[in-house]
Amino acid sequence: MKKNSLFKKVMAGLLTGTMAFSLAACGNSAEPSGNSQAGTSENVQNTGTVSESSEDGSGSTVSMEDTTINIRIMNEYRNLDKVLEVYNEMTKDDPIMSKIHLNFTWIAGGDYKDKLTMALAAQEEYDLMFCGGWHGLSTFIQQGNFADLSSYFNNPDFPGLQTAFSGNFVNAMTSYIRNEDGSYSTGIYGVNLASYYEDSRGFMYREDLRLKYNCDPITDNESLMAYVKTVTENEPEMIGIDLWNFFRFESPFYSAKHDNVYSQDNINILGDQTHVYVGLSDDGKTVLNAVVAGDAQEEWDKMPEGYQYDFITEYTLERTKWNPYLDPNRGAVTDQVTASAAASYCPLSEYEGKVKTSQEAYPEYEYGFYIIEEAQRNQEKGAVISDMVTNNWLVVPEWSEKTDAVMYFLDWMFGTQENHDLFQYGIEGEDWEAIGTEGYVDGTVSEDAKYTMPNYSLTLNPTYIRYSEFVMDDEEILADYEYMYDESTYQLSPLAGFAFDTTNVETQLAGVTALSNELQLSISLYDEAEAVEKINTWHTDAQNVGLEEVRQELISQLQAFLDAKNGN
Amino acid sequence: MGRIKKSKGEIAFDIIVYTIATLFCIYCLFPFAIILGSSFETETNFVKYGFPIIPKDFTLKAYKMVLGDSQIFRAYGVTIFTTAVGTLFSMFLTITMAYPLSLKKVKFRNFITFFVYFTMLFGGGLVPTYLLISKYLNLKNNIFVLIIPVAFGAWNMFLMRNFFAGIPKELSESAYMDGANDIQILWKIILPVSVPGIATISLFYALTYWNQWFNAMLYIEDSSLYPLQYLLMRMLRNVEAMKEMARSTGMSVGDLPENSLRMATTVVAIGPIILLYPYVQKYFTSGLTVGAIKG
Amino acid sequence: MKEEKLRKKKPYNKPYKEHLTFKGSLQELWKNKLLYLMTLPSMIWVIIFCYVPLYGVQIAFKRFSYKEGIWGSPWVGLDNFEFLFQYKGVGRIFFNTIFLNLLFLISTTVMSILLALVFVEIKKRVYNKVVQTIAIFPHFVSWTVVAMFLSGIVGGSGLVTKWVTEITGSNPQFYSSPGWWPLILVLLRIWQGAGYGTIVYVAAITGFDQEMYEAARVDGATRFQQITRITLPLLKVTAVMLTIMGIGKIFNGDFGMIYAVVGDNSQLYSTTDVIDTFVYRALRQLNNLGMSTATSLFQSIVGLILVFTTNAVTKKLEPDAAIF
Repeated sequence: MKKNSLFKKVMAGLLTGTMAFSLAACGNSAEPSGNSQAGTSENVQNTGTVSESSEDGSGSTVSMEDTTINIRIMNEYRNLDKVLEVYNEMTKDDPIMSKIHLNFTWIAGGDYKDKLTMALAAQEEYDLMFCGGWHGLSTFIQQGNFADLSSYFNNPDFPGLQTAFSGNFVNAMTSYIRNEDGSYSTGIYGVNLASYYEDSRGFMYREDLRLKYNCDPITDNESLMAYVKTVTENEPEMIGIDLWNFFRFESPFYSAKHDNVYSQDNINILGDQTHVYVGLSDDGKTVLNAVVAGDAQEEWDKMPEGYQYDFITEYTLERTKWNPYLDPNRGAVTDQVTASAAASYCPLSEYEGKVKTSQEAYPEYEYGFYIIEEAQRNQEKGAVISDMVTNNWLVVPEWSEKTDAVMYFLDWMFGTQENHDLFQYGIEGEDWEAIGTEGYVDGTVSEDAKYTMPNYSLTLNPTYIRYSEFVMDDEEILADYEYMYDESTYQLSPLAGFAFDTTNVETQLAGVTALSNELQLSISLYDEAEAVEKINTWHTDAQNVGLEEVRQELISQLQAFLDAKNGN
Repeated sequence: MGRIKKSKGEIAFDIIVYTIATLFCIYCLFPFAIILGSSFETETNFVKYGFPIIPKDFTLKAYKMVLGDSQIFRAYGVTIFTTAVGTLFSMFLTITMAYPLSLKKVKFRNFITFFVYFTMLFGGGLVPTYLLISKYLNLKNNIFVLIIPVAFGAWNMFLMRNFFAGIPKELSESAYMDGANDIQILWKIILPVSVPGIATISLFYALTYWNQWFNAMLYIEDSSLYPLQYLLMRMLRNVEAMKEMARSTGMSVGDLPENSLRMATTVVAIGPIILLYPYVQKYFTSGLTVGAIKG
Repeated sequence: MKEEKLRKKKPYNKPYKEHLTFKGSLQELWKNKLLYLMTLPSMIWVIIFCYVPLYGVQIAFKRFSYKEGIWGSPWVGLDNFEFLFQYKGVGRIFFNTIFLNLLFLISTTVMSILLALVFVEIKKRVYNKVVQTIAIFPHFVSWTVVAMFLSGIVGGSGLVTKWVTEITGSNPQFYSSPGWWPLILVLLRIWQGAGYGTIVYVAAITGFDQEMYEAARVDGATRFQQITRITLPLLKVTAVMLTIMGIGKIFNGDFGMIYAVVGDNSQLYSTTDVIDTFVYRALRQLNNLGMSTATSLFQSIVGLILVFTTNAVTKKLEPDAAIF
């Protein structure tokens, strides 16, 4: 027995020793990471395979070696080979493009995050990859994992990119990276894939039921509620309103148009849908405050005129008016199309899919779409303040040596409608047919031979838009779509390009996020009094794990960002 | 009189035994009725009626999707190969470790045991493992990445050790006295009487290999090397992704089977196991008795 | 019943040397050289695939940057552990993790043993095979599929929900009543694992020396008595060893099952949220490898301490069942 205990002691000693050693080694060095961030924005990746050192505008000095670029797409594409053949055919006479060969692979969306992080950890040889915002994009950018592509934009050598990425959009794509010393460097670390900038929020409702019960046309929230009320009274089996998976604190009926008050993805750092609102001064250069639901009055006092009260909680309370019409079983979330709701929350881009799914099961149902935001309903210009980027990006790993080839390919693909449509829809006449210049419809080829490509992973762009047949057929919907895709509908938010650096407040952020997740998933279950109580409890608990530090950090970073942007 | 008493008691005992067994079987089977039934149902009916035991509209669409995939036979092949080779390799590693650890005369056995057990609790995580396997050992897109990194199961090894420890010493002692060495004893004496244990642990390994998909997801991109389980999982994820995309871009989905596909893939994955299991089962319930050899 | 005859008592005290000399070790290695050599392939495997990657544990004390890799990332001391302990529900998730795992461990062990005893007693061969084959079916169903038909059973319009409403008159809202869920989860675990778990016990039981049972029958023991006096004591070794291994994992929640079945339904968190699900949610957006590694490390250390303790206790009571 002694022998055994001796060994045990040795083992225990080793373990404790290792633990103690590592504890000691950590000591007090709170070295902020990412000291190489500044570097990447300076060194533009312009390496290896392209000899274009002397660019005297004659074009013929550019030459390219035979290169194959490895492209990684998220989600399945099919029958790519025939499209690649056409690509080879189309480019065979171009001195540069004919040398660029494409090697595609795809990874299923569910596995994508794991595989992406592993590929970065092992620095695998990919030259162009998809990276979603939810994959940790901003962290990767801050750590310098992606190449800076800014030299390729607004560059006459890349006319295709100039056409497709211009004005507000390319400005929106610019990231501001915070350096160790607090200064900012800018860079474009990815190519954003967007078609519309923001999805129009709305409700899809049963037009056939509206007509059946003689409800007024739905033109505002009151008529919507009247419709919902009438239908639920007459059809006891039906749910009045289905919020799908809309979990945010606010009611879906809140108006997004505020003056000098902003809330957008890159600021909502407290969890997917726990919104932070930032108030700016009139000239947009000074941060007044960043607020969340449940804040004390003194926080609200600092906000711009008209927003000096807890409007976030008020949005939440507004939604409780609709509680009687919600699904009583809304605790457990499913994503089935609820065919049995009088009205369902639905972003415009999803309208077509949902209608089709529903009509497959119930062909007799008819639908209409009601847009929540009044300014959008009235098709006002500049009604939507947006950061004008989506969550879908194509990135080039920093260690890739074929960046030029990649950018030439993108320049080609985003160069003309024809090139773009080849990769987005396939071979015209086979995989798809055009409806005029604006529309498209599925082609006649069999499903097995049809080319499909997840467009959000490679090809989406606001310059090259085609509407589906479903949309083209319906005048009202087409008008809504055109408005949604029109760039003049949008104003670029002054906070676009900001990325929050979590280094200093990671622990606090993790704590608050965990609490937010819990609350937002259940907020639709509470009535007015309960909701206020829950929000206040959440706020107190969040304070205890460091909400204030997060707030202050956010404000100071935002201010520094604005200063850098405005050239201070 | 004694006999009658025993019979009554025995009958009561039997009733209890059979009742428990039957109840448990119903408990196990009952969701399978839903799984099987749902695999034949049309997708639109799921929206309307939920998960059926008897499908309202019988369709083979889900199975066509699963079995129609040209890669499925190849995937079966890959899985059968990795299961067979993997089980053999794993059993080799397991037995060679378990036997010495089961013998009291091996003085370092506790040290080695702890050395192995420690790894059941502590691990370095995915990143270093990934670097090791893909960069340093260069096993990416290699069929052996489905075998070698997962070959040794400490849990199985401890069970095997227990089986070995339960074998009476007398068997080996007489062989020692006849001059046999440890390897000969293991091969000629211990293994033959360990058939139940070996069969059990082999079964556990085989089932693990059969169900394996995680390593395939990480390390294999050559679709001809996909094991069955991963192929099925990809099919499912794809359909989910396609539906997602359809929902968000208004693409037509047709009657794309998602729920029924999920059920069908379960059936296809379990099927072979269920067919084989009764045959394998006899090996570890045969109870090759030690007594028979002794006597 | 002659219990001394039946219990093969093994000597508790092995002869030991005063201290283990270097020379003594070499002698031991030489004496049993074939046996030690045998373990070599596995040892190499374990070193390569388990010990080499262990350097990744340092991520728990670092702020991991993909660019700088594991060695280059900066140290942050114990910071990565803070978020877990600062969580106001930390007590709740610790309790749930241990409580649920204990429930699972006990219920599946008891059920597996009970069922194994039952299966062995079924003498009709065909029925025996059918029963044992059916019993392992559930093991192969993925939790996602389980979650789907669970809602068809205890969901709003589920079968069980309807039965209960008919019988008691009040509508039980299972998906919003956390109190039911430990029971539901245990039933799920039994469904999934008890049948598979019988395999080991059945193999063990059928391997026992039949002579003992013969002798017992001659002495007039009923089948029930044979089970309690012969089978169960002999099964103790295996059962206890498996239990100790289960205790080593007691601080690791069953993420696969719980997340698939409970998901984001926060109403059920008070009784079902375990460490692993909490960490998953908290770090979902942050993408912080250091924090998740820190949590795993913490869970492993607790598990190790528990195993040491339990193993030591077992050594005194049932030495053959101890792991080391």
